[in-house]
Amino acid sequence: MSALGSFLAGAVAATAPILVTAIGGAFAERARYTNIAMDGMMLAAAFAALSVAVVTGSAWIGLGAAIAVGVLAALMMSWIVQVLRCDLIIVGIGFNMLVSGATLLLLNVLYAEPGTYSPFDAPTLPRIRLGAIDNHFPLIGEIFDRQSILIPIILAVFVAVWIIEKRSVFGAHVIAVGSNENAAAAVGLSITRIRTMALVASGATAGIGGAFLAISALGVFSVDMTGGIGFIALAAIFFGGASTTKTALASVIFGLAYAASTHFQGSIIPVQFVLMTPYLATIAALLLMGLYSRARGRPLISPDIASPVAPNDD
Amino acid sequence: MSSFRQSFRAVAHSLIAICLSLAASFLLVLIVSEQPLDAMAALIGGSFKSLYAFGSMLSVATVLTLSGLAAAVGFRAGAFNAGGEGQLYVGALAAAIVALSVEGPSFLVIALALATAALAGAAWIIVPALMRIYLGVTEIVTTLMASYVAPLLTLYLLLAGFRNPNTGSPETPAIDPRYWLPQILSPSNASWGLFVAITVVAAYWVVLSRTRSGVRMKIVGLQPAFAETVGFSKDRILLWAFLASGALAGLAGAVVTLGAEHRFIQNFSPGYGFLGITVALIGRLSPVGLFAASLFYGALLTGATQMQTASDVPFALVFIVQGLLLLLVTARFRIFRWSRLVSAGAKSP
Repeated sequence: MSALGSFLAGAVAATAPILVTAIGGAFAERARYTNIAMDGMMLAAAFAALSVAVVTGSAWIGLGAAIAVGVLAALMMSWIVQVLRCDLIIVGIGFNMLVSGATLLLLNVLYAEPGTYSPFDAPTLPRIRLGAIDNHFPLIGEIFDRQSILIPIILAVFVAVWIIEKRSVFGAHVIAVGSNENAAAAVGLSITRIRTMALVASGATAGIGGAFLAISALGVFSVDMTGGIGFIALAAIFFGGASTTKTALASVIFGLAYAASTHFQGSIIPVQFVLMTPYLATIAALLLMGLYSRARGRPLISPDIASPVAPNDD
Repeated sequence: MSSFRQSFRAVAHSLIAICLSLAASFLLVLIVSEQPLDAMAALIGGSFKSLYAFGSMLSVATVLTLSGLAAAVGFRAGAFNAGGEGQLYVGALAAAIVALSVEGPSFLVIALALATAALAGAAWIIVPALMRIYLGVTEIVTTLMASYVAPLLTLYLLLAGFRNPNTGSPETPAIDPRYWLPQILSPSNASWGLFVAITVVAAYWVVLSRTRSGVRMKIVGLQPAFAETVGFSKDRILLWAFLASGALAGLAGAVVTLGAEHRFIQNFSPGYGFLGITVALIGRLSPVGLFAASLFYGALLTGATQMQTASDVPFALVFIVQGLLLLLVTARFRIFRWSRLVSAGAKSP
């Protein structure tokens, strides 16, 4: 196997969970419903995927459970924000911490494991077998052969989301709500419902992203195993201006950074600097995007974070 | 609305959030534990069983007060410093390096170590701050990303030059007791850091309510556009708020190093930086509220340590409580006015 082939195969595997999580999150972002809880949704989904896969003996049911957990999390968050009128960003941060604590507790209580649950007979999703293509296009073979079946599924999700964004009524509604909610309300759209559905879409794709971490290559769950991938997906959304295609492109860039960081492990570069790469790359990408927007005379407008509990806020 | 009624409602909202979160976690304990009563008793009362436990509680509360202030200063000016954990790490290591390498009168070395830690914390937030102010890049993601980098950087520096060669774990040698923050309630690890924290709380109150900068900061947080109309630069105020926020989180790290651990230990923090966000919001960003919230959460963390040894419920329960608190703390609790559903949708972000 060539060095390039193995690097690109790593890049595909690193991109997949970021990309699928980000394109759903971009939908929520378009409805101006920033989903800061994608990291926690992924973590919860990863835990559910492995646990259910082990109990039922089927990785596919595990995948279904992961998606269900993502959707339920989105519904719960939306309920808290809409009905209890909580601050969306704070709720998202809280949800991440809740999942981080809950999965740690469940690891202890259910499996008596302090940090990692890795049952030896855990079912995992099947892998792609390319077989014959190998001979004609060796590089394609090296990159895609033996990858998880989730890779083509994620590509299909990407196409589906892209079509929904560009061609469906729902996609148009989401954009309408996001760009001018008063106008959207005036023509009779239910802002609450559309935002909730956009968040549910994000929960579902974050569920797939979480399942990818837990039951694609190995059947494993470890504490905080996302390592901030959900936030990197969020950065991809900001970088891509919440458009499906640009967000996907940004995810690929961050996936490459991730693959590079694994690739250089064991080289002369100290391992800590190697591990920093994805996070530094994310900051650098956002910096470049900010500079670019400013140079074009269209500075970004970051979401207003008014003091969330200021005394005169109601 | 009178200011008294406002604060009453704020306190009531925080208390409802606390009660609901604790109730939910007790329910959880009932489900997962065989000794639920022992677990609850240890969680709630553990900090008051002995002088040692009480001291540990104060020690944790000291750190939380400072990291909570870090978050609160940001929120006041409309900035969300989600990376307090990273600033805490660089501050903790900076304090250890100064205390291990500088010789001199105790007071001066301690002051220098605290100041260096604050500077390190401020330096750690400067890139996200400038990106937010001048480029409009949201600071939530950048500060968080920086907080993933910080522990890796401290680990690298530790291994590269400051590690104690006589231990297996990644930590610096012990700091000379002359450069510790003086202990109180010995043998617990409470220290004069508590008075440092109280002083900073007082300073926060004075700045916020008695100085022009404090008033401007609140204006920037509540009505950014208004700041320009009144004729002062909101960018400058925001930058100072960011720097103060980072500095306070760095100071929190220094208080752990000089007051409690007396060395820098990699992985020393059970999420003090993130807990600061919770503490700031539970305390409604007010000086007194914030200090009270720190004591509350300090007691919970200390109680949880005892709960873990006294029962079958793991320490992780406190992180669940923390998550629930954040989910609920910004609620207005008008659950029964369903008709508001639609207008609430129109208002949210």
